[in-house]
Amino acid sequence: MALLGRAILLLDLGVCLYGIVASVYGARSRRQDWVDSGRRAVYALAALSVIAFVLLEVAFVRNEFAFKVVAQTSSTTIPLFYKLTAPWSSQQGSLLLWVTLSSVWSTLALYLTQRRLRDIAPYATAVLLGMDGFFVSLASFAANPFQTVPAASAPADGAGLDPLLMHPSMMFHPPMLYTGYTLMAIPFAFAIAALITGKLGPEWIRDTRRFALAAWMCLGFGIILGARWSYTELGWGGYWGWDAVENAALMPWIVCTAFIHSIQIQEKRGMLKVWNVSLVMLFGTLSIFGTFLVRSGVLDSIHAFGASTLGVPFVALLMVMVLTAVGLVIWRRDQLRSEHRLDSLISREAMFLLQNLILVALTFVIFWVTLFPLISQALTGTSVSVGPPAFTPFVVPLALLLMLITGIGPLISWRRATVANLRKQFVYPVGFAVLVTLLVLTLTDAGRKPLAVMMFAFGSFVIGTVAQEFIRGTAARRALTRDFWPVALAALVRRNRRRYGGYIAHLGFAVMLIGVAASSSFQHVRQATLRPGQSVSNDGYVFHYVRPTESVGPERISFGAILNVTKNGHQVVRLHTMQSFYRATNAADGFIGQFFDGNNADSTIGLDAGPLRDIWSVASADTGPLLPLINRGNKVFADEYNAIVTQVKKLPPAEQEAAYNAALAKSNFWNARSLAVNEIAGQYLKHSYPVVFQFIVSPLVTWLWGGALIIFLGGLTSLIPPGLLARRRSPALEPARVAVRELA
Amino acid sequence: MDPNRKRAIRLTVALSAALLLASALIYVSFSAGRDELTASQLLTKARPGGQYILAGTVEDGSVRRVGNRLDFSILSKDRRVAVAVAYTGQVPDPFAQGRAVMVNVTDRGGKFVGQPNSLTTKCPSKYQAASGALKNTAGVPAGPAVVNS
Repeated sequence: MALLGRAILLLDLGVCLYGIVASVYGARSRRQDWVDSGRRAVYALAALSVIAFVLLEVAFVRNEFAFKVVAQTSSTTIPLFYKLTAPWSSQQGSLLLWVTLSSVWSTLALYLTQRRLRDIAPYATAVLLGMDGFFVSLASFAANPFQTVPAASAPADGAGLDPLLMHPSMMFHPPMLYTGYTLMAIPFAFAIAALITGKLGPEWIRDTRRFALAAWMCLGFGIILGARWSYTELGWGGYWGWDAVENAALMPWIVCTAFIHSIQIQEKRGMLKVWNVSLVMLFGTLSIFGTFLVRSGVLDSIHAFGASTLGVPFVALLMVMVLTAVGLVIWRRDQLRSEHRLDSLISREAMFLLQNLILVALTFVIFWVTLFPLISQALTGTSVSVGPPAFTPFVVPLALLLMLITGIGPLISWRRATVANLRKQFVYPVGFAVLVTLLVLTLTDAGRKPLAVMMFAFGSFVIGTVAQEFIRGTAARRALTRDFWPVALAALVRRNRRRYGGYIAHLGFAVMLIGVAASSSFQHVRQATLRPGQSVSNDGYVFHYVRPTESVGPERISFGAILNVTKNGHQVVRLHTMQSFYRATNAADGFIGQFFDGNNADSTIGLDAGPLRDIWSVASADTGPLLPLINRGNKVFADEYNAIVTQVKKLPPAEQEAAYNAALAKSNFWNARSLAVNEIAGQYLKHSYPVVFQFIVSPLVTWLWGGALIIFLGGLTSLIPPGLLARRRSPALEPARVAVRELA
Repeated sequence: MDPNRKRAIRLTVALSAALLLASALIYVSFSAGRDELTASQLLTKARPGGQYILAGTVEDGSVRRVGNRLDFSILSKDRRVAVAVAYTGQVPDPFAQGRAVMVNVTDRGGKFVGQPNSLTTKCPSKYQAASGALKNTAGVPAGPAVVNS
């Protein structure tokens, strides 16, 4: 199976090379048969990559520990669900996943455009195959997932998956991110091809816009899944830490957000052509830059990501991408001139442009601060640590400005707004925002955080804008059709999916940033060391440590705590938080200690999520008091084991294995060890050991997740092909419909 | 107004704004950034009462919990020098021996005390095998899993 996998990867490389040659030759010689053959090479690459990935999955499911990657990241005891996710926890497997996803999306894009973009598609095919070929080369020669050890030296069991990666998000978070990254290659490839051929009309944008939108949606959803994972799994109570790996995903997403807005100006008014093609180049390059940061280990600090040898090839790829993109844009600058000029600064185009500038500025800030440790090292020779204090002075005002523009943009007319237009459009959204802000200031103590209050005000303004657009649109539709409100609303969205999908996404954005502002500004954190029966209060809530819990399972031993939370004497919720210790294979831990190794532990938080506030708790179990028992157990079992081994070694080699197994069985060694582990773990319940708790009360965290879901829904609404939502219309009734329209 | 003049003004305003943002960014990066010290640099530079950021790898076998205090040592890059840290506060789940960590420490007369809740660890999802997973297991066979009795 490993041999087959390695052969497929080499075949993949051959297919890529052939496809590039066939596509370019076909395009230059105008031989459609070669162009078609190049396109089919992408289909073949997708089929082969899927087979290779399935082979790898099978190796994980069947515990084939002769595969190095399986031995390093899986074991016999991890559940099937996590065996299926383990391939992308490794460098090797994740490269194969990248190739598989990229080739599948490339196949889809080229299949859908095979009858259009005939001049552009061959070069796009060559670019896509070139990028796929790069990743196939890495998977073949630098990080091969099908690398094996001789069967005789294969371990009996694998090292297992990092406990922190055993989370349901592992199934969706990395594949969603990779889907986003790989989908971004499609507009990038078509943009390069359009520049090469000089066919810079609206066609390539129209045909690849959906891929940009899908990339934006998937990458955004992947980022949010990561934030949720961090909030519920990593035991620190936050969802965003400005970690370089988070930033690496955020940057292309922000640039893609700018693109899916500014593209409308090019479509409507033939403006911003250089800008749009530059944005495509930028998010395409940033998607590779992100994976370079993650895999290269270039940042030698707290933000380093597993040293590897992949940095140099990635730098080479990035340089090729940047130089090609810049060179092509300069070469084609005459054809990229705008057809119109900006008529007024008070117009929708100007708002789009301003929004784009803010988004690009935001990207630049994140890029600069993320790389600042490297820049500082190069300039001063000293490594510098930068965290949230370096981001927030820029990100907060830019986010506020962005929110304001998000509210203003849809209210202003194209080309030039009049005073009458502004008055008519702004009255209700501004009134709504003022009302909400006054209510917030009156009913809460939010006034002490003016920036958060501004975000509430601007967010309310956006919600008011979106509501007004939906109400006015639905009313206009009702006036035409006399439909009921819900029917008219559904028809309105169906007929203008892109516009109203965008409004839904704006609504989600406002809800999400209100949640971010509230939860980051008004969070209450309290740490306490408690024994059973003791209590502590945080933001008016009393956390009472009721009793400890303990459980021993085949995968882990868990020590937890039952907490009772009350407010003003009334019961609020009962929480269960625990820390689980996964079995380690470190020889130094001993026969008993391997079950209590703090290096292989993770936390399960106790969470009560509500629409207005989250109560979050985590316990750090202290196994220190168990240490004397663990050490004693280690000694007893090591002595017993060594005695058995000493006896066995006196026998002829041929008899040793049978004698060894018989001796262990006779002494009931493993059952005794199991009893000892249970007994030691049970001590946790018998004694009132103190536990270190962290309690967090945060307002509106749920709004963050809810807002993200609304954004996703908005993206989906814009993305759905017209045919899926169009109501079947009888041709016989068309004359009647025309008559109704004319009468109306 | 002459369209060319209008364009020139807009360009000047945009470039000035960009320049302003860039200058502010450079200033804030340098002022908000704090030097990270390795274990050997810390031992050279530390003065009683001084606060520093210590970065490095947690030494194998150095992690001990004493009540609600966590004691561990951080190794220098060449792994020759280790600095012992006494830390209280929140410990992120990814913290483990052999992992890259960063902690704010105060020099208390030669002893380094970690500032509460300042311990951060490397993101775990970066293509590394589970902690301790690849170490030598010779001498101690794993044996079967334990079950609840």
